[in-house]
Amino acid sequence: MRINLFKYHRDIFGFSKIKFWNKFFVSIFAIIIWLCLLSIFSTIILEKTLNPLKFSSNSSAIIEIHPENTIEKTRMKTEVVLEFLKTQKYISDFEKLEEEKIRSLINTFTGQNEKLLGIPLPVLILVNVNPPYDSSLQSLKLGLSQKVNNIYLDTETELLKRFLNPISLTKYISMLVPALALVLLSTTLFLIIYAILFSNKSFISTLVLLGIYKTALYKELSKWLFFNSAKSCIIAAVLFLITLFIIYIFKIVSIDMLFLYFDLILYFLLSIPILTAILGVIFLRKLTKKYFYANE
Amino acid sequence: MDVKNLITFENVGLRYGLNPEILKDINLQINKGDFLFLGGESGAGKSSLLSLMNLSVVPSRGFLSVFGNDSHNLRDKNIADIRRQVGIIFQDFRLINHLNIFDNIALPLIIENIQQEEIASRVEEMLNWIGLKDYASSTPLSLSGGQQQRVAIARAIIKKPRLILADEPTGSIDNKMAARILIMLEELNSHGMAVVFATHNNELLDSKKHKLAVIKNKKLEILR
Ligand SMILES: Nc1ncnc2c1ncn2[C@@H]1O[C@H](COP(=O)(O)OP(=O)(O)OP(=O)(O)O)[C@@H](O)[C@H]1O
Ligand SMILES: [Mg+2]
Repeated sequence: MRINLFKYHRDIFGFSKIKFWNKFFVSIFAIIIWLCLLSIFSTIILEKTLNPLKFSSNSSAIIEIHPENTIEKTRMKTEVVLEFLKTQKYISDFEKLEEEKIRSLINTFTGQNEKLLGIPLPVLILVNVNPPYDSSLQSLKLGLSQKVNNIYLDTETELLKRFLNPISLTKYISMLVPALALVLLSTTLFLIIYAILFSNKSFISTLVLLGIYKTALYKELSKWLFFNSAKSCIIAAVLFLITLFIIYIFKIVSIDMLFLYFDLILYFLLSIPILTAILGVIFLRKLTKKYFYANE
Repeated sequence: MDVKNLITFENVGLRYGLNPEILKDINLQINKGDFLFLGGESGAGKSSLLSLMNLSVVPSRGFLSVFGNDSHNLRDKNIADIRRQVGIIFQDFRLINHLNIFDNIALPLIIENIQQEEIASRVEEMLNWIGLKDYASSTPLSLSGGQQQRVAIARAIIKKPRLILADEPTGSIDNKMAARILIMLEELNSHGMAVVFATHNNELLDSKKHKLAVIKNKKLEILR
């Protein structure tokens, strides 16, 4: 006859053969609902914050004017283009890039190359279109080709813009998102593990008082605790994904935002086992310590 | 350190948190084979003194050694080792409600990783001894206070510990049963186990000629 100490004990949802409902059940659900609400609100808030900074790849373009036979000719052509841009309503702003910038940009692709120093540079003009529609870019293309020839319109400017403007707020915020996710995750784990320990307080303290520490049963207890918290974390993660899915279905935020959140989801899923293990061990130690010396 | 000596208190004081001391200048020796009655009114600090012996609290002052280990230099693992050699009957029993009576009594043996067959026979024996063999598969909550107390006693002595700490082991049972339990503990004592028997029942204390120490005004007086 083999007895299993933990088989009949309540698990994470307070499910036990003795009692189906208890306070713990409620507290875990409170945590999970709190997590879902938090994720919805933080998604919406982030969406609102990031919206003005967001640019689709079609909202800007680079006009590339290839060098003519003489410098004078190139300069005149550039003048014509700049004049044309000034008259276009849908162009919110434009900037003729400095020679330095263009050279360093070229260097990033070719490396520092002495031979290239003598070669005349193309003229690059960064253009932002508003509203950011493809059609605006199409009419820009058409208008330009009627004015001057031998001109190239590059709409794949995302990378280029990042290079020209390396410390963008967007980048900064997207770095914060994983950090936020980690904080959120550790708080949740803390609460979950604490709730598990708390709901089994008298059971665990009795075992500790009987000298369970570092015995085979202690290992079983740690394992039991670990799997219970892992289980609840996975359930929390699934609920988290469901929340994101609901956000997606009901178009509470745009789909782009969900892509931004893939970082977060990934971190969430990857860090579950690791953090559960670390925090589980820490909290179990802390709690057993606490019962070693009741007056500390 | 004398192998016959189990526990030594030297000028031990105990306080809980920042409260004033509830035990002062405790001096006591418990040796192998001793049977010590511990008296004192309710709230005098009997349970606290037993907690010190089980190392569930550490002295805030003075020197305490248990089985030759200084309480101030103990690591968690040593504390657990010591506790496994002590059988403690808690005042509030501390039975595990989701386990049946059989498993509750078997717990110290399970902790020691003893073989199933041996556990079964020893628990069987215990159940007969406390007269609860029909209750093996009940849970503690379905038992009366006195029955729970007997289960707690069985759990404490099943592994034949070096030292038995009994905190009001006769608190919830009638006089006849109490006398029986006292005789049981005396029998265990005659096999070499030291017993500390805490109770505020003066009749019981006067009925036998064992060593007697009483906590009065936070100090321990050795009367016999
Ligand atoms: N964990 C604790 N924290 C703070 N104070 C405590 C704690 N445990 C006991 N005390 C205090 O210590 C004093 C002694 O308590 P203790 O339980 O040791 O008495 P006792 O002699 O066992 O009483 P009884 O006969 O009623 O069981 C009491 O005044 C109590 O309030
Ligand atoms: Mg007491």
